[in-house]
Amino acid sequence: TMTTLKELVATSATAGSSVRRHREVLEKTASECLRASDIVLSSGKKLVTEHAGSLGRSLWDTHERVLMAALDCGDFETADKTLATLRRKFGLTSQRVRRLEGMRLEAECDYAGALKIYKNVLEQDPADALTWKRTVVVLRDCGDSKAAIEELNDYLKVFAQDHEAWLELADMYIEEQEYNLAKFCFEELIMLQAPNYQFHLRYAELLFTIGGTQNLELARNYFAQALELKPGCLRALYGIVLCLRATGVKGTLQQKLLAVGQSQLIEQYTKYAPNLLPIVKDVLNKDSK
Amino acid sequence: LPKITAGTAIVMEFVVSPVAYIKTILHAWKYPACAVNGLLLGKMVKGNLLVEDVVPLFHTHLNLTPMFDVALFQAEGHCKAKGLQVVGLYNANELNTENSPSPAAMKLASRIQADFSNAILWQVLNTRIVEHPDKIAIRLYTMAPAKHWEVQDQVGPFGTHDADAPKSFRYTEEKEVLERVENAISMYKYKKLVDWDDHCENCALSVFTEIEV
Repeated sequence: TMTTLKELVATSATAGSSVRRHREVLEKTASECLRASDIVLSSGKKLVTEHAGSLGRSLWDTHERVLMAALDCGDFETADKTLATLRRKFGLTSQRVRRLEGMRLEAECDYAGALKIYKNVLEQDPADALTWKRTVVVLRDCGDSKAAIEELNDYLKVFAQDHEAWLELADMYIEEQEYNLAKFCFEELIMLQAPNYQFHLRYAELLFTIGGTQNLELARNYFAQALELKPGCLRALYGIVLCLRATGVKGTLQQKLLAVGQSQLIEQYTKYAPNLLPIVKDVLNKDSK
Repeated sequence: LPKITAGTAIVMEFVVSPVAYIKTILHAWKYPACAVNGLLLGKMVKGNLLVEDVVPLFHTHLNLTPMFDVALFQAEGHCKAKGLQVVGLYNANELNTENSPSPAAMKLASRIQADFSNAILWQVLNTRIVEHPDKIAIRLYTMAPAKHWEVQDQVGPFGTHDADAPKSFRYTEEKEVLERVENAISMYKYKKLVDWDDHCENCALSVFTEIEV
């Protein structure tokens, strides 16, 4: 992804870039969920202002993306122009347009104003998940994490499959150092998307952070699971070594696991970062603290 | 030059190398929507603390400890080769308006202080991270005798260790440092900055990568 992002940045910045390359920028950032608002803004703006015809059915979606990217970059001039265009096209009563108006207010830190719009939208359509989530974001931005957490919990009672929401809740719990509550969120995430190594990985890191022998042993298992789902995962390899050193190695199976962790780490660094090998070997041979 | 009291009898200068400061700001700039943290590397010079470099650590889930442990071990290994030590932590919060060190940041800094008694904590002031900076965007905290992190009035002079006169510093004007920050931002230098999260995704990327600023 690093190389692709480099190419995307280069494309977006080049004045003579073709329509096709600009569309590539938008497609790649969307499909890989990259929050690269600077290049989305420059490529997207180029397309909607000069090559609107080429966008076909994604014309208005692109306008929306340009608006959100403009807000992210603090480019209020572009944001306001785009918002005006969308208002003209879809009308002032469009739910989606009103949510974007709310976001415009959020960008200026007018949280009360944004909340007013969102509450209004939700009164008319209580199932508008995106607007409900924006309410949570505003509460979080205000610094009212307790209210944000409460609101998000209410949301998750209705939309229990929304893994993005579970992740956000876990994030907030971790920030508040409520690690046991964050644990619960990751358990939900693992149930929702078992093949996703990231959730097993973070769950393991959380268990390690909480500490205690039982948690360290469980963490070891989840690090191992993450490694199986993503071979060569550096975090998982380090995690396995740390856990085994902390609990002590008991039995041949654990000895084998430790050996796997250490040898794969050495393999990775030998291949990709040989200059760091002496330091890494030191780390692996270090006595546990 | 401003002398800062850390404890009852100790009088110490905290000198900051421009590179260390600029890299800290670039890390925060690179991830405007995230909290970020990193390690401060430095050494004692004639009873004064010099922060010579930083190691950017995380921009996700800063409070989780296992990768911090590994990063700390690795940084210590790197330091040995360079005659440096891990001397502190820098921390930037996620919320723009939060300018105090988070409880987790203080915990991590305290861990470092347990091994290095003169350890410091830099809190990044988010609202001062701008394209054209006119103020220093970090606040210095030292460990008070009562074992809590205490804010200091100033961050201390900018400077580097003078290779020709090993016991003294070569100072840099604050204005020049701010200009260098502005240049680094406008030249997209932050895109070259690698933190531990990046290293974990791609082993070939090193957190010890030098950046020309």
